[in-house]
Amino acid sequence: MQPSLLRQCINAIGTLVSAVCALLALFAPVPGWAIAGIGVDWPLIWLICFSIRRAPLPAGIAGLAMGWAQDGLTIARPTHALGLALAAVLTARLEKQRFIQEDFISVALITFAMAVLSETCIAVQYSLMGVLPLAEIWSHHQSVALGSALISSLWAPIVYMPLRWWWREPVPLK
Amino acid sequence: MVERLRRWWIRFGLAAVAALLALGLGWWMRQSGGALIADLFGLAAAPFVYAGPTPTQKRDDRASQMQGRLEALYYENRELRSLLELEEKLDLKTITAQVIGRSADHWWQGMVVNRGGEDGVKVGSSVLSDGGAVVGQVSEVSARTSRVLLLSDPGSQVGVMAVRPRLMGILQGRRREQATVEFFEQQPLKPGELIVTSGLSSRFPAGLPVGRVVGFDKNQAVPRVKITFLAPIGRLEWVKIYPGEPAVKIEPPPPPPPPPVAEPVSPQPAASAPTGATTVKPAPPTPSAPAEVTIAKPKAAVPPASTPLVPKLKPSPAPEPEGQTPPTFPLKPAASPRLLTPETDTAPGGTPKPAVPRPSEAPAPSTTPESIPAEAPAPPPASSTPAGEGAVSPENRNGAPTDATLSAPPMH
Repeated sequence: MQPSLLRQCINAIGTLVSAVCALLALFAPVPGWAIAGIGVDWPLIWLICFSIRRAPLPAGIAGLAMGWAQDGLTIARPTHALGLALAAVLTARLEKQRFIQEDFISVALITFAMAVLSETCIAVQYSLMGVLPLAEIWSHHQSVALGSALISSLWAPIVYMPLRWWWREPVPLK
Repeated sequence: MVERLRRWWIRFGLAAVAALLALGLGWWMRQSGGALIADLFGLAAAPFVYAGPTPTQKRDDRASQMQGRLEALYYENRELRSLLELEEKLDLKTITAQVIGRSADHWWQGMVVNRGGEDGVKVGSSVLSDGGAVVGQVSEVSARTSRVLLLSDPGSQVGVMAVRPRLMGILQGRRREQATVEFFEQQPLKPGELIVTSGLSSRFPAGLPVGRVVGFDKNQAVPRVKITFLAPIGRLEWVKIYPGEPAVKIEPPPPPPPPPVAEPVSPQPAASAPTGATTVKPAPPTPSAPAEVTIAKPKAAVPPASTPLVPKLKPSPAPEPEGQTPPTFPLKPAASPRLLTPETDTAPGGTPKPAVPRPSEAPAPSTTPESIPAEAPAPPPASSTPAGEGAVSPENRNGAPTDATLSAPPMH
């Protein structure tokens, strides 16, 4: 059963707006959104919420697009797209609805793991670029990965709930 | 075939279009530097604009930064005085901007400010804290916002200099309030040493304060010094953007003052004299002095203007003996300024006080040799009364602008 065209358009617009909001939130210096100077990775959270009930392909595409957008907001090298796309595909592959039941907890757990993964991707790219000393990159990676994973997984359920409501009738792409 | 395509389109058409759209959007954002998002954020953040740091906090920050800047300028000034006249010209048109956003990821140290291309900000503009310490550089500009790459980013390397020992080095950010500087020479630095941007850095104007030394690591092959930034990089609220290119101009020294020509009008030579002197504050002696010179001896000109000059004058009076040659005097005023200049250099060192006692006799001497003649005129009481009256009459003349001429008349 395909939903009506109008319905699909509204869905898409809502999805786009939520993605833009996630990007906007990156800039916002809100006190509760940082732990030891490390802020919440909103695009990652959005991406996980998006991918959790979707097929790997659209999830990967969304990850790529989101990563490029975040590149634009910071610097393009190293790219964020790689880590986000990887995280999105992996999340989609988990097929959560089949194996895991607890929404809140599982979203937080997945976010935790994926935050570590995406930060690692960036750290690896930095290492390959060779502009910074390795020791420095990886010591920074430790704190960033842990901090980002903690704070992002804490905030993930709050993003997940409204988004799940918005996507409550997911388009059966599979 | 067509039927299959049609079916495929019905099933996946929308999804395919959406995917293309998403990819296109993402790519466009990457290419445009995320300008849309940054501007949107600027709009969204507008209602929440922060009122500013508390007054005391602001004052403290500013005080410490001003002190640093002062110190930097003092040493720079002292250095330059002995060399050429190097003038650092910052374009004084600064753009004050408010920090509205922080870095958009965990690896890049930057911030978003609420002024952009429409306000004249350009990529590469220097960004200073409102106290004048360097903070970073504009890396990306959109219409209403711009993004600043902070000094604390590991990617931003800046040529710096330790002010007192004049050591050059390269500063590299460490993602914290502290950064490291690698110096080209091995020389221990004391904690508290001021670090400023060096003239070798093409990215910033020279001489802007950056930070202070807090530690020194001798165990490295290259001496590496830890510094803390003067500006509170972690909690900046307002910044100043200098849109102009960093401009450091070296100007040729001013041409030597024209050879003094015997001119009756004193003000001109006076003016030239200070320029030649350069180092000394030209203001006090200057034009007024010569005028008074001849006349003022008794008292009038005395206190403020004459004081710096007096010491110089004193030496000149010594030659007085000849004092009685009246015709030469009118010419001397022109020459006198020249004499003054070398003395002016010494003057600041010299004690101004001694001047004070003399004033009674010497005040007029501001023009130097004339002072003597002036005294001389008194003896030849051309006027009705002796010295005292003679003095008075010249003063009256002082009121009149022409002085050289004045000096002459008493003689006669």
